[in-house]
Amino acid sequence: MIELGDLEEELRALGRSITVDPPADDLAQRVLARVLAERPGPFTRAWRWLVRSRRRLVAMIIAALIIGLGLTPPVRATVLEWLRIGGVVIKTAPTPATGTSPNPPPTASGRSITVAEAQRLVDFPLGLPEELGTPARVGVSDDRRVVSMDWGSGATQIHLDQFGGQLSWVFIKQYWGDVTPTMVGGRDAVWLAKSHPIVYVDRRGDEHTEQARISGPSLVWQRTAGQSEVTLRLEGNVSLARALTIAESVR
Amino acid sequence: MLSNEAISEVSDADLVAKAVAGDASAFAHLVHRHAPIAKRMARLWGAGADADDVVQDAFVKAHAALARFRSTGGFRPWLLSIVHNETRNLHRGRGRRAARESLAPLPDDLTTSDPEEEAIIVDRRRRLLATIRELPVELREVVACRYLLELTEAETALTLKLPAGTVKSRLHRALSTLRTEVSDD
Repeated sequence: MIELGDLEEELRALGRSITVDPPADDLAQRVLARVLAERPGPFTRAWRWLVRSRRRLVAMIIAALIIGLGLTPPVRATVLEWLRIGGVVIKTAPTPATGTSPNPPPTASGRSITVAEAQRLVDFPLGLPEELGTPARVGVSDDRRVVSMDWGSGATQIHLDQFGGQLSWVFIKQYWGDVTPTMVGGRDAVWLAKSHPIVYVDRRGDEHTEQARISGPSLVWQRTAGQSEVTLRLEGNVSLARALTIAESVR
Repeated sequence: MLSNEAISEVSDADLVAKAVAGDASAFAHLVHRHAPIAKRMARLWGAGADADDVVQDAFVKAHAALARFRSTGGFRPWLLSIVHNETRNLHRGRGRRAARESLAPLPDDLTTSDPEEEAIIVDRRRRLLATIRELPVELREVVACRYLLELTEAETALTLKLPAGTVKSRLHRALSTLRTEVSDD
């Protein structure tokens, strides 16, 4: 008769030989989107209060992640890790996807509106970088979550996205280069110097890969305006120093 | 507290505490950490193509119940007990026949890394799997938890919500049966 220990070992080997596809990459995102959607109304304010009070904790986790990532190049291939600044989630990816030259940011499609018109369409206060002056084009996404502004065109184009709220995320970046932690207005920010895919996420947590594109270098940071937390994403072929100067000039 | 640690070194208990305090990213890390075994369990319990949905539902329920979680036994068996429950609900929705077919991973899912012995090994594993499927459900579950998922006896007890002594005696019975069946071949 087979030895008990051998049988146990054989059972373990059987277990390991049963292949199961890994869970979907966006599982956590879908879970959190549902958690937030199912949260009863009266708790929303308490939740917001908690979100605000734990800001330093989040910053610490992000710092821990950045340190963790920084110490282990190349980026860990098997462990899915990501960090988050406001409404932007940065997922570290092991290898560049094919075709990594940046697409131009989508310029505000259709009729360009004024900053004042955009402000009336969204429920968070818009900021304007004094460094850049009046934007050449302003647009609001169909679901009124994101306001985009553009300055210049072609190689010198600078694109700024702004969106409110902290609860759900709006963009996911797949990134394989060095994440450079920095500060804007005394708060944590990240600089992604290399081109990377960026995906839009709707209110339900669904990723819109059909709108995915390759983003150029970008700076992501947050600012508090009145009662609102606004996430900003500056994209353009500029240096980190220039991006920071522009970011610090947002009023 | 977290300053010099990578998130992968933060304990489940710490992540749970932060998630309870409202930190969504801490809960996301728990999801990333435990989703693979949760999905494996759902598949072993016969969730089939619904395994992803079962896991997603289980995490949503876990989040809702997180404040009631006590860290004595660890997050993993607690989560797996929810997955276990969700898979049972799935079978109830599908009817009796599907319930009988639970714990029926397809033989195609078996792999081995040794091409020399592949055929023999795969054949042997298939027979072992078939024998496990013939076990009464209460024995099948402890075998699946303890060996196929490689949980400890204590984790198996928490996952299946059984007293430790019951797990021990069921494992004993299951192994005796399997030994006889496998050796007879």
